[in-house]
Amino acid sequence: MSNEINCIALIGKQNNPLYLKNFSNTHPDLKYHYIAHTSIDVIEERVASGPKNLDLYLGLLYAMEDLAVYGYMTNTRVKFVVVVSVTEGIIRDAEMKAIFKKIHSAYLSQICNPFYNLNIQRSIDSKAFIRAIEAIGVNANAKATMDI
Amino acid sequence: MNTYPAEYLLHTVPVLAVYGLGANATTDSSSSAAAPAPGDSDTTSTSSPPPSEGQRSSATTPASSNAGRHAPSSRAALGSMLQTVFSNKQQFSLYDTPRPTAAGPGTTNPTPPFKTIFVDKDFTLPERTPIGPNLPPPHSNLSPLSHESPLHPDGFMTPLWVKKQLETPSVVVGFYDLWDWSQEPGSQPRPKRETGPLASHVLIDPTEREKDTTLAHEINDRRKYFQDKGIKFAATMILKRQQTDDPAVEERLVWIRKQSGMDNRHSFFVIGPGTQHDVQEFVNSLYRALHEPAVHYYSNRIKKARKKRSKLPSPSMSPRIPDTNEPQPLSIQGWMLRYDYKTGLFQEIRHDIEGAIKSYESAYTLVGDMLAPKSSITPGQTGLPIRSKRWEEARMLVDCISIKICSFYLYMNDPSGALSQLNGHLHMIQSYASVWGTGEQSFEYWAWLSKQYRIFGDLIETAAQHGFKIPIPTAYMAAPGSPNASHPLMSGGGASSIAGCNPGSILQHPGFYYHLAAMCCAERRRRFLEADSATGGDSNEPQATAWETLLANERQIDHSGLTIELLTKSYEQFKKYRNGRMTLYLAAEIAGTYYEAGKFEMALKFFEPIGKTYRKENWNMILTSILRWSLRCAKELKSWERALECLVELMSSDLPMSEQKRQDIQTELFDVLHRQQQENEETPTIPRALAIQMDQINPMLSCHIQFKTRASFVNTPVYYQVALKTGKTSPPAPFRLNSMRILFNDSQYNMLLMDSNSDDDCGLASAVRVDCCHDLKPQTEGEYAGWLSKEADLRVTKNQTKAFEGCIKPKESGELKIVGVCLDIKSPQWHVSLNYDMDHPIEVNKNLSRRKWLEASKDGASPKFTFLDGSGEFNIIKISQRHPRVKLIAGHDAQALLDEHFEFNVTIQNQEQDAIDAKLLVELKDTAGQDSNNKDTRESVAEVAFDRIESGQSATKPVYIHAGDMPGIRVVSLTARYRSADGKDQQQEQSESQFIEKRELLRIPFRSPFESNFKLYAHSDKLSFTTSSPDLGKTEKWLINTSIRCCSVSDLEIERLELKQEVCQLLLRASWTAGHVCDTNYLFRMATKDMTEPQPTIPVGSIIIHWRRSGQDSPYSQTAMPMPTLEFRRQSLSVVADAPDDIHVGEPFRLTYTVYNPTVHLAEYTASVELSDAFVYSGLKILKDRVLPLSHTSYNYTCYPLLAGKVRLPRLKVIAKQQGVEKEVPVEMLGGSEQWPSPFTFVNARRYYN
Repeated sequence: MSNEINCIALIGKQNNPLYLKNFSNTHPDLKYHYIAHTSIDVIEERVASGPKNLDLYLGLLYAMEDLAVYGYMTNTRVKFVVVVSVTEGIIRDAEMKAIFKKIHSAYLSQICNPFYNLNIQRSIDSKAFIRAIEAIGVNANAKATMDI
Repeated sequence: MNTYPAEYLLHTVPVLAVYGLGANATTDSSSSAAAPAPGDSDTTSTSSPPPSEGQRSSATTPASSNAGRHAPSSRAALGSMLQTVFSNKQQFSLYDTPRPTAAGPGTTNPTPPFKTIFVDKDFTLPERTPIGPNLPPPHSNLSPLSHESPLHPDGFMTPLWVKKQLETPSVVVGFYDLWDWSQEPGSQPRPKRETGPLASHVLIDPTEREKDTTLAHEINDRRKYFQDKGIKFAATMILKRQQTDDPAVEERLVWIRKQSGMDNRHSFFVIGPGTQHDVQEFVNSLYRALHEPAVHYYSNRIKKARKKRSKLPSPSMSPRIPDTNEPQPLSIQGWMLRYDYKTGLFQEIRHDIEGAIKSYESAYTLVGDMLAPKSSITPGQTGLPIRSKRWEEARMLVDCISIKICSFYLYMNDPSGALSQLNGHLHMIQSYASVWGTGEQSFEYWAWLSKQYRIFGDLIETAAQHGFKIPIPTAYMAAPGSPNASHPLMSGGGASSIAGCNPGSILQHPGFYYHLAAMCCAERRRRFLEADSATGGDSNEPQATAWETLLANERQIDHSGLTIELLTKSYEQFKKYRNGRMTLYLAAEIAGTYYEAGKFEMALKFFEPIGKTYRKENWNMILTSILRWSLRCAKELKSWERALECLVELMSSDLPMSEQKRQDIQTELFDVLHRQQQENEETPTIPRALAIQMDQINPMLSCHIQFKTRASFVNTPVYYQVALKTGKTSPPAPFRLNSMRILFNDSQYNMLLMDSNSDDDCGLASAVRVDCCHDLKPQTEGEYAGWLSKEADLRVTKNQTKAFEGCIKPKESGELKIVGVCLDIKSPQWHVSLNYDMDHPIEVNKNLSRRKWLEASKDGASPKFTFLDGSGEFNIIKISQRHPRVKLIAGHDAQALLDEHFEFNVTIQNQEQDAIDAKLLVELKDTAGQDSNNKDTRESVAEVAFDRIESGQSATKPVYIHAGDMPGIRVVSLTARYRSADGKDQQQEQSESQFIEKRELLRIPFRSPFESNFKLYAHSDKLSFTTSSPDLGKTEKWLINTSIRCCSVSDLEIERLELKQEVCQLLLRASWTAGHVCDTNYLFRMATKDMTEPQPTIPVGSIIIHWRRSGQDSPYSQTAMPMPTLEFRRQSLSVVADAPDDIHVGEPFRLTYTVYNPTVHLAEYTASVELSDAFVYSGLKILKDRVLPLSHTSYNYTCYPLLAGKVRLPRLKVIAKQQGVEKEVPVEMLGGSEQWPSPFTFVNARRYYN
């Protein structure tokens, strides 16, 4: 992975933010909130216009300034958004998919918690989940720096 | 460098020169031919969409459109119309030229675009005449080689050159008039010349021929002149109206054409007067015909340029000497660039876009290299001196070429090509920029970058308007089978095997680029402000440096306006591409820019609506930011209401914020609330009211309502709790509410809680239960007069739940609802009420948790939550009337009898807690038309008062029912209505609804006590025939046998039985048991004076029985049984036999048959005697006789009995014609004894034996 993950965001079924983690130090959290929120549009459009058996991985949603936004939607319409910084290189879908898969499994473990209320429209504040997401971002970014 | 020359960006098309059109033909050609390039060419020329055909015609001047309707007759009108048509399109976009592929053979040939210039009739091309006979022609005045050129000595390109090309025609069209006699002043109109087969004999008019020859010469001269220059010439003859009909004209035209050596199809045209449409058609056909020669012309120019370029030596062959300050002549590289650019332009004109891309790309590389600090093409060449004239020119040119290449790539439907050109260009300039000192720190760089993005956005938008499809970023994923390696996105070797893309190389819709441009513009502003403040100190330097003029210029620029314009453009694009949320982001950006520009009102206007979506979708981080911005704007505007709204919402714990910031917000909130009015503001005498609907924002306090039960009864205490719950982090300090109002749908229960100003800590515990059930005082005055009120601690702090428990005793049944809760924050200046509107259905998607109730714990510990049944929130309780707790018992006999006053006892048993006041309503159902009465009121509804019944006691009252006539089941409805006997005194104004009702239905069968059976017997009297005169009087006797049967199951006591006619008490004080039958006989004699008159029926009366049930002391009931009526028998012929009573065998006797005719008609009859074995007789055996009306005839027979016993008399069988039918008249025996049936008699044994 040659591109740094700047942000991982999870968006609920009702388009409410579930969790957002900013890994970058170039942009404030607010920027990523905006980006995650606007990516809902693109995801919705992609899903509406796409084929029925659309892959969970939606690929590049859009690129804004120096950030590329990738999307993924679970079957329960929970959306994952990963924002990476744009460099000259190519971002491989397989790598993005792998990141999304990791996020998905972290989310799955979260909702397997019987005490977690699926319908609550609040941020996930489970420590294990936060740790898992942070690990995904940090690992990917560490790898990115090694690649360089 | 803020604007690009229009010439560089214009899309060029072939140039057509026109002369000979009316008055304008003589005007200065350069003025009309000047390209009307916009003064502000910051936007590209391609941004204006080409007008459609319809617009084109509407764009004409009113005069010509008039002319279009009325075909112009004059030459001038036609000329001006042609001029209009020629000139109504002066700017062209790339997309005006139809794509070669689009114009298939089947489609109509599309009109190629031409730029038309109007020139003089004697228009000549600029001549470059050699100075000397042996010298080559001098260089063009734009060539770097000529001294007067602006490019001398080392310039490479100027917009003037492009302008020159746009004024140099590739095709010239001359308009000529056919000479006519009418042009000759004072001449007579000539007669029409004959044509046809005879025409050749007629001489052609010599004057005409002469004029035509002159014209043909003129045309020929022009043709030759332009042919020499390689320019196509075409002549157009303008005919007058009268000439169009003249067949001779055709001949003349052919002659002129031949004389002038013009080819028919492509060089010689004829136009007559016509409508606008005709003229347009003509011009279109002219364009089509001239397109090919025009293309040919430009191809020649390309060839020439290429030839020149090929003659150039390689730039590496002629290294430059770097260290000379003298202006050097243009380098080889510069000449290459020049030729490449020229080639590109000509290719563009002839619409060879692919070729143009190549040429321009080559030119781009060359000029880019010239800008580089160190040239890689010409060794030793250093970059152009920064900010020199040539440097500026080169930068302009490189940007313009790049823009052209981008637009061509988009036209060729190669978005990645366009984008890589853009990115490459940006990258190149960026890398040079730092060398030039206009790096990323300078506002110039950002201004330039913003412009590049903006123009690129414009290009995409234009392309999209012409059918260009913005690719989907993941298009490469959708087609896995396509060879990835060939995909332009796939750069790099290993990319073909692993799918992926470079997000930066994906073309997106213009909105993104406008947004980038806007961001760059904002950055430009920031950089400028930095630079401005840095140099602000030493601006008083007398000598204005270039840098300072730059800054001064930059100061003139409305950065925010530009940014907002770009953001608005982007907003529109995102709206178009249905990215609703992106538009919100952009609106926020616009608002932020307005804020920066100090336009707080506009900023607030943009901030206000966008919060909604973020609020709805819980993007609280963004919402917080928007609220903070709004707050700042509101404070700047002194819009304190808005500021308060923002502050209140910012107090919500849902909005993420550090504790310190929250504390600041709270402080600020109270500051605003208690802010003293400034002098310049009006001082309101009353506090300003502000209502904030808390359910529409993120509330700082959530308000929950629970009724303890779902339903309750009237007059029963109903408990409810209003719980105020604060968030985990807010309010950081105790927040004092001044009052709290609880509003019910019935305002009489409304409650007002006022702050008690207490300061103890127990009011700040995490769970506080405030008892509001007791010690309530009604407000006597003020706004809330009549409300119940109490003082309570209304402070709230973070992580707290405060439950206010109230209790009401509903007085009426129905729905009791808490419609709202208002929390009031009051200050001398403000009255802010936080309204919780509960009068709406609770959202289904809200997370419903189990209902909780804060119970006070007994041992003084903090109150604890207990669970109630159900989940969610109950703000409605159903109040109904309590179920009646009385028992209605009705005791009665199994069977009721008609006519009696049937008694039954109703018992009301009180099972209530306290004594009741009851009354009973009795109603007899299905009583229609029946005479059934209650004893007391003689109506079918009656009320029986029961008065007070103590708890657990019962009271019984008798009710009587009387039913007559029909036996059957009567339904009696018993309704007990009662209310508490104790409450009666307090509530004198009780309404009906306060009664509790209990209803029972009773079915009582009624049957008749007696059954009667009547038998009637008629008695015949012995007829007296005393007088022979007709006797009209008649008497009849009837015996009525009545048989009355007692049907009652219980014994009845009969007082008397009477026949209503005459008082005849038959029985006294008898007692009848069930099935008892009482037989009575009544004998009636009826007499009439005149039997011929119609006899009425005679009512006998009825039998009335006075009775009562045995053993009862009640008054006697009467049951009447109507007797049958009596009637005289019908009068008819009758035969009466009269025989002695005592007949003995052997003793003759006389038998008399008397035929009576009681009718008023004569009766005729035949009679015969039937023989009898018992008698021998003497007398008429067969007879035929008549009897007069009201008379009789007797026949005597002497009979001698032969046998003893019951024997038959010899019967006289009388057959009379009665009512037209022969009928036997029955024989009656006189005396009427029914002992023997007629005509039998009894014969005794022989008395005497002699």
